[in-house]
Amino acid sequence: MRDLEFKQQEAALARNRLLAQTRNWPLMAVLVAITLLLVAAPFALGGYWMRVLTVVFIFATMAEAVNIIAGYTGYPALGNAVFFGTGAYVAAIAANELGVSLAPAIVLAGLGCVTYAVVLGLPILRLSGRYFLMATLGLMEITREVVLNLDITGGAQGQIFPSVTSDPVLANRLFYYLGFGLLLLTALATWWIQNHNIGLALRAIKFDEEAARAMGINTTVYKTAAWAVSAFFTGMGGPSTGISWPTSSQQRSTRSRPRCGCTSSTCSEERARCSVHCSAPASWSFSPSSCGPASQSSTILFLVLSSC
Amino acid sequence: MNEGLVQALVNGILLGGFYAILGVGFSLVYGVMGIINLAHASMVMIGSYLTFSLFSGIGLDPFLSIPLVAAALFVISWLVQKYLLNSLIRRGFMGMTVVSTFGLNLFLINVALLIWSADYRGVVSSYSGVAFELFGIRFPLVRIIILALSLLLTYVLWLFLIRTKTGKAIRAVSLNREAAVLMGIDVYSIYNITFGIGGALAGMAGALLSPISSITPFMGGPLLGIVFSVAVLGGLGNVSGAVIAGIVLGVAQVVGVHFIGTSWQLAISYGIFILVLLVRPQGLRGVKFVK
Amino acid sequence: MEYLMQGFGVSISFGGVQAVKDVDFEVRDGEIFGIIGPNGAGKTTLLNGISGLVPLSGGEIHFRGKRISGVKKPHQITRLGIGRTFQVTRPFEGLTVRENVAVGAVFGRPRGGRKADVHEVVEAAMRFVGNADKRDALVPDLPVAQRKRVELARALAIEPKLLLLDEVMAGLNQKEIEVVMDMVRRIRERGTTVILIEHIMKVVMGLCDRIMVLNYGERLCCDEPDVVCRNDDVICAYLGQRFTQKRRNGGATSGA
Ligand SMILES: Nc1ncnc2c1ncn2[C@@H]1O[C@H](COP(=O)(O)OP(=O)(O)OP(=O)(O)O)[C@@H](O)[C@H]1O
Ligand SMILES: [Mg+2]
Repeated sequence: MRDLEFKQQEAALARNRLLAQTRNWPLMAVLVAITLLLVAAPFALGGYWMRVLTVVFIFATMAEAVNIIAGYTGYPALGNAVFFGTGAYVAAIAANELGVSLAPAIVLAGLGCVTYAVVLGLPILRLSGRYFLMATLGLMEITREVVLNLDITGGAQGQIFPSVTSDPVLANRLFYYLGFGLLLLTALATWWIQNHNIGLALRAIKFDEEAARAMGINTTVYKTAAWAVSAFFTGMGGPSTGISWPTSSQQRSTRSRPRCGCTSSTCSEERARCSVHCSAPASWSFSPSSCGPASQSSTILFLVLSSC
Repeated sequence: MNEGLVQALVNGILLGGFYAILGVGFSLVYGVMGIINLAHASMVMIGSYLTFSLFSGIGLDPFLSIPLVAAALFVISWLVQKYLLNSLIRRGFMGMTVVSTFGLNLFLINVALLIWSADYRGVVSSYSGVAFELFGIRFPLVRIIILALSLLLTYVLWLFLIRTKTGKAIRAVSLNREAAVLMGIDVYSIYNITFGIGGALAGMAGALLSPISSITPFMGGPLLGIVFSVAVLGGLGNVSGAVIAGIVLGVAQVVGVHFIGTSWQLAISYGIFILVLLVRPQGLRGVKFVK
Repeated sequence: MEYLMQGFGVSISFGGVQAVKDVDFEVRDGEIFGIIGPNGAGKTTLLNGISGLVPLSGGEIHFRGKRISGVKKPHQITRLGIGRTFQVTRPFEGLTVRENVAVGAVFGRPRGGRKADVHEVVEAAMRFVGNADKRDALVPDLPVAQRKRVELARALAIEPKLLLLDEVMAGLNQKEIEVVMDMVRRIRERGTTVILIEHIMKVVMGLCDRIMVLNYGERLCCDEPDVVCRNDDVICAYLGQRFTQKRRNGGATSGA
């Protein structure tokens, strides 16, 4: 019964989407205008607002990525931020241990997360909705515990990504455009999926997985792929913020001074602001507890987006 | 058997009793309404803070504050169900209930940050260091009380469910909602009570936890993993299963720690959780839930 | 390779309940093969076994001489050319009629060989079942009869060699039944073999070349319609005396 009601609501939402598709030229114009504004913004904005926007881009990227698995495919991956953290770690470890520079490190982060998602997805995506939800949240917890206990990840201290440039203005712009580019890329990928056979398969899976199977869709492949794509973009988001996330001790105690990757210590003592207040994001750091804010913000964003 | 292992077993059972009461409320709510309450662990956190405030404010013993804390959380949860979740269920937005509890979770964390700040808090009573020793095995008094109270309170819940009229109505709704409606049960008021009881159990768990753990607004995260583990291991929605699962998990965790190391404590629990989901998804008891 | 599909001692059980017990059957190329039996006889379950949605607990199912049960996954079975509908209709609720049919055309058609354009296949399937005018409607807006047509079009869009129809005519009125019966005949004329589950005896008798009767998961008999409805076991288990008398007196109506 409940599921049926839920499906009717879904259908109502789908109907609205259909209406939206038929007359969206004004919307397109507004989107293009906003895009142009955002491209030009770094030349008008101060460092603080640029970093705020960078974080917004990354969170929006993550929300968009969750949408691929949760929105299209119907698997509520609320623990998807695990890929955000995993990506940051993969990139930082690749940079510190192998001397990889930022761009390839980001790609590596994405690919690492794809691997993680495929290996985990094959068993976990067998679970139906609610159990999948709990499994992804559990996965986030277990990954954090494992990362805390490994040597290569740096335990509770986390990792510091080596400085990319010594010029703070340049660094700000670099990460700004990185985040913006990632968001555009994710939006583009989502758009492509939506207008391609893959999107059709994913939506079929969402509404009735068994019927989808009976219509010749290899559901295992498609839903794993959906999660992998989701993980890819979320994973690339991890190293692309250029921000030193507070470590667990900083999150817990307002007394200790936030340890930022930057040299100057203008960081506010406030937990939430620490991340965006560092004067130069040329290097960034990440620790096991850094996923919390990212997880919450991106999930909220996804939920808000998907319900309007 | 060496002494260390026996001590680990004892510790595991002492811990497992607490895990049982931690998971029971969550499982009950899921069993009756199908709601995954992501705020359950944060309700535990609020329970701990209330206990802390009562302790530091008027010097009330943490165990004596249980009824007060439980009542407070019952009321909060009851209101949440009545004014938030029920309206979603009525309009058929079942999927949105998870989202709401996700939001509630964040809300509670931030309320705690505002009221109690992010500092570590603790409840240290006069007898917190007391322990008995028997055949070389340590039995800390506080933990024994926690185990005893956990089991007692869970037993009371069980009696409530099988003896009282309301309890029977709750079970009826969980077995078959449509049939319960036809029997004249007001399902939504049963929902209110169930979620209230779930909250009260979380509050009790919080009060019980306060003497043995440091209290922070973020303590819910790791706890939620334990809650999931207990509920899934016991079979989602299965109250008596949750008790057995709590003990099993407590023992497994402490014994695992004995062999691998303390820092892997939580990882062991979560590992069991994922394993159970994959290998025996119906839990120790309960129904199958793989598609 | 005389038979299109063969079942050897097919058994399917759910926990303790054995829904299908040791059933042998063979479907000839080009025929309409009926399966009848009382409620809960295991007809739907057998169909699910064929399309791979439930595993067999015993026996084997072969399609065109090759084993499919236990070796092929449901989507692979579909792509071999076995399409189906569901008894309780299960179209994709949030997709339009056209998209529903497109799912079959895009993913379900046999692999390899030259394929017609997806668009053409979809349009043809919708035209065949007569719901092309509803192409942009969403499924929840449609009445039952239309939902059944969406399912039928979706199954046809995979261009099946063998079509499994599970009570496609239940819940339709007389006129609609006639229309769908005609469709089934035309489907067969296009060279598609059909396995048809139906309770409406007029349909079964009027359409099927051969009928298999299931009762409590067991095969009672399998023969031509006239032979089947004279079989004492079948009359006792399913058709009932009244039906046989009526039939003797002339017009056959719905049984069970
Ligand atoms: N998924 C399942 N789990 C457990 N038992 C099942 C399941 N599916 C079917 N059964 C049981 O198997 C038996 C056969 O069911 P089936 O649906 O195949 O009957 P049917 O012949 O199609 O009946 P009807 O004419 O009512 O459609 C029934 O007793 C049913 O309860
Ligand atoms: Mg049936």
